[in-house]
Amino acid sequence: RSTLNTKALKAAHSKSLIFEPRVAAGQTFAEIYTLCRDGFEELCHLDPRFAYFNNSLWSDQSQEQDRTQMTKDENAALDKHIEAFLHLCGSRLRLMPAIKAIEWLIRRFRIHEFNTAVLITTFLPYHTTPVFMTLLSILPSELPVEYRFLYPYIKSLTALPRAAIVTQATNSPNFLSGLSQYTLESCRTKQEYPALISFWAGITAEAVNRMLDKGRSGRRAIQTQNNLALLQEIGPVLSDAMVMKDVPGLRIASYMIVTILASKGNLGDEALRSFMDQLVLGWTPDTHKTGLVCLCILSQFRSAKQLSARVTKALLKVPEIAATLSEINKDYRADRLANGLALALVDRLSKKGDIRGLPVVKSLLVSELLQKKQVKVLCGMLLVAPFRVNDEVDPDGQIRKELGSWLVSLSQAGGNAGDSIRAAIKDADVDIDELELKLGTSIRPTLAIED
Amino acid sequence: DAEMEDYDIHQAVVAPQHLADIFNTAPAFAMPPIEDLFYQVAGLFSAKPTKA
Repeated sequence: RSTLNTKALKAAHSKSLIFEPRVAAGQTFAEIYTLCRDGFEELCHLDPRFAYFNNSLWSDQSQEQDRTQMTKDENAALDKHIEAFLHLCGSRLRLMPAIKAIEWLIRRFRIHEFNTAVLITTFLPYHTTPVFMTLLSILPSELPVEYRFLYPYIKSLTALPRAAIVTQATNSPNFLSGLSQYTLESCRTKQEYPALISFWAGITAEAVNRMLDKGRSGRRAIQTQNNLALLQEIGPVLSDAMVMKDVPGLRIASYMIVTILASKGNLGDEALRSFMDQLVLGWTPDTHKTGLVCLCILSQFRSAKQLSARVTKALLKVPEIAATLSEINKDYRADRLANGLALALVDRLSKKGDIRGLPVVKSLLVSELLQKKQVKVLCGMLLVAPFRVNDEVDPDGQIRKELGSWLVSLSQAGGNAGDSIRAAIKDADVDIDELELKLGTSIRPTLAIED
Repeated sequence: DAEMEDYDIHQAVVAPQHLADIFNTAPAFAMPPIEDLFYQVAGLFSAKPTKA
């Protein structure tokens, strides 16, 4: 029996990312430590945050630490250090120092057995590289459920294709949520790197797309139910990602997935509105353009037209919003977002006498990105706005006066947009006499000239 | 009717292969910036702009 144990221990000790099993089996912990310490020190030069682990995973005593002799609490504390260390190594797995450092954790702390899932997840964005194959070859025979799809690749020692990961993400909520939580955790602790974000974004985007296809059903109620289930699964992750401070890449990645979800998921106005609100809550100037494109697409699938107060307020803070939306409209349909913004601004004008949005409304109207029908509705609303502004919000009539001269200048706009505006004003079912009286200005002559 | 839809809402139809093609170009560590990937995906799912 003791020979068997010694054999098993020797086999366990020979699992290595760097050395052949026969070589590894004969190495002492002191030798391994010396060899791997090099790698750790190089990592400390590259990123001072590694130095934090000097007193735990890399202390002199670590050479004597045997996990099987440690208490549950000690093991749990060690797990925390290991996970943090792996997250920090993630961006450097193509560098030998990182592999050497992880080698120590494998040899001494047997992380491939005790921390299997987080170890595989750390290496997953590198699934095409030889080191990933080596990792597969040293994994224990029993894997966590979400990683059992790796068995055939381990058995045949063939490279893991991206498509297999997408399939697993589509079929196993545990796997996708594990990958998402790993990515979010890296971002929260500022240990993310572009490849991790692109990897998560790509896998999640494709998986969500496939889940939406899978959930399609001829029966509307069933499809709605399926989409709702998917939203419950992925929604919280996206909400966290959309407001992730200081990680613009993750925010953009989440816009990508929200775009797919909204385009195919038949989400309903409430969910769309909540995504739109969340998006502007978390955005910063470096994600304005991508965020606007995403908002444009979300608007296409919303039946409510007017934007929420939060989105309206956020859009007003984007410099040259009308020009930016016109630019976006060259590649993506932006009229619905532009229209929603204009409607919200006119509504604010009518209800609160807030005329600060008028320059933006005018820019949107003359930018030629709105549809004729949208221009017509908007002009109709603008013409009734003065009747809705009451003495309470405008005691001295100043707002109505400004609105009057603004309407006159709008009716004189040039180009195609000007023509549409004049036609819309003409068609509007509004008593022009009463309006002129109310505004103390004359709109009629401008219209008459056009007749 | 002011409340009438200006156009119908159609759910997007995108072949899974088109989406996969965007991410299959290179391993994650050699992919284009996430911003480029976003625009490519948005291009697949957004309605094309129409002339006002």
